[in-house]
Amino acid sequence: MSKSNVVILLLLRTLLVGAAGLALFSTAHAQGRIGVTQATQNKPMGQPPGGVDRVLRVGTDVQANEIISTAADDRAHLVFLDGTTLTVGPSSQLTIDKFVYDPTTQKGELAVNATKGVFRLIGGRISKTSAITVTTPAATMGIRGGMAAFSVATGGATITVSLFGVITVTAGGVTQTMTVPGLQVSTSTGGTPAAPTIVTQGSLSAALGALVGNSTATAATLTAIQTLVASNLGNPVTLQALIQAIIVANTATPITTTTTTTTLAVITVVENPNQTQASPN
Amino acid sequence: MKKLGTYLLLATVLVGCQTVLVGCQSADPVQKASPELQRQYNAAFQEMLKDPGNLDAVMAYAKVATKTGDYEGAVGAYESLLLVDSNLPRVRLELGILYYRLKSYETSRIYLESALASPALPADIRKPAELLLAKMPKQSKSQRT
Repeated sequence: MSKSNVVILLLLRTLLVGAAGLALFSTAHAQGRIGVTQATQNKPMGQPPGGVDRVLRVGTDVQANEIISTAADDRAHLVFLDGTTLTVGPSSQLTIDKFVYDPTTQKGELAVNATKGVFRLIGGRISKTSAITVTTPAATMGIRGGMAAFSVATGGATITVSLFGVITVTAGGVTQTMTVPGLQVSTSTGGTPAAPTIVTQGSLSAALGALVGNSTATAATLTAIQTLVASNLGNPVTLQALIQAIIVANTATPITTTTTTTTLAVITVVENPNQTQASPN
Repeated sequence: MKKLGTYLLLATVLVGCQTVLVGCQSADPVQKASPELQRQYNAAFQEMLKDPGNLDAVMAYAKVATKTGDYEGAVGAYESLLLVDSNLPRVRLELGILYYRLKSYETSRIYLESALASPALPADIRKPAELLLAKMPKQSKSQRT
């Protein structure tokens, strides 16, 4: 094979690889779907780029560059295509700045900009090889192979709590690194991140509490429960049926189920709530 | 029989902890899993993505993620259920165990205590949960980075 043929072949290969890369990237943009809304409370809002505000329901796709916002009683739980999950607490706002993921290599990039509120991010495949970036008015966080909860005050001051993995907080040229769960780093706007301190049970509990549903059921939930109980008079209502009813009451998409037994990791819930057993795992 | 259940649960947790320690050496436990387990994991995840309102799919993914050693994935799935209803002591118990496996003891303690605070938590799993809580290491300054 002549030198010129080798050069041509190399050029062609480069072009093909480049085209494949572009196709992958543009596909993600063309489809727009980078994740899905897995659970919601009340009416969290999403504004896709160039689109209008829409209420995020269970099953609503999430797009790159989408702005997610919640009011005082709203919450949203998003799952991305790489398995990363992001819980958005009440009175919060963030923009999904970047999401690139190649399912073949299981590598990619995720960047989020949080302007206010409380959040929990649990890293998926992307975070196993590169840190997920969260930017706030006060700091830039890196979440690698792990989980973090963070709150952003109205002025931008940020508190980052390490739940697992390697969490970095950078501001003003200073970086603090947390490799042990249960630590927190505070950063004031315009300042540098303070040294990690042990998070108090009270503040951790408050942060986690803001990221779960209200214990007071919504009107829709109450109605669903009442209907379920009324239609099962004389029969025990299973945990699964109860959760199904609650989800149905709070979602616009149909719920499907294929079995009548709900299995947790260590507990098996059977139709009769009095019959419980430890599962083998 | 209750003792057997207690030992099973504790053994499950301790084995899980070993997996975490091993997992610390590998970046992604899913890639270390057997091809069949990986297939199950990927199928369960895709099913959950396709139909996120399907409780069975969320539960199935949480379970296979736990089995695979992807405790973060399992935590994410269970946390989504608490967004729907925070009064699910069994889910809180699962989260308590998963955070324990991840050595995230303070978070584990919060979930275990809240699970135990619920009268709806069955007696046969209450005792092992109490034992796990009693074994919980307290975070010390020596753990700080």
